[in-house]
Amino acid sequence: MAIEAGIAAPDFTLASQDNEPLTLSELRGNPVVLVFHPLSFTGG
Amino acid sequence: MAILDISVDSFASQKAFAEANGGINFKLLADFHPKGAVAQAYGIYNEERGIAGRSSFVIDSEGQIVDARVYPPGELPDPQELLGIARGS
Repeated sequence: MAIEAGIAAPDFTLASQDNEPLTLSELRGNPVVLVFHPLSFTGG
Repeated sequence: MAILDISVDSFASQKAFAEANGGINFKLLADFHPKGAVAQAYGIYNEERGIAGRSSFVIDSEGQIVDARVYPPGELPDPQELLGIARGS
């Protein structure tokens, strides 16, 4: 089951397309839209 | 405001995707090492197929999830709607 609204977003650090690590909690102070999608070449 | 787009995909194919779309003004993140770990943390990893389910989460400036959605096949997130929620959070 997907996590639901009302809880703290699980933190993570992942490499971006610039090959720079990005940590979610470092964006604190700004709203974030997080989108997961199945694969890059499946039309979205 | 930040938009993060995550797929269970290698960095190389993410880069190709960004370039194929003429440069994207948001971050593409690869959930690849270990594969799908972040998708699992958000509860939308499909173990059987090894992919993340199409889903979106709006996180407010305090780090709280204010909107969580999972999309059925054929349905796509509405970026303007999600950005509207984020702006209002």
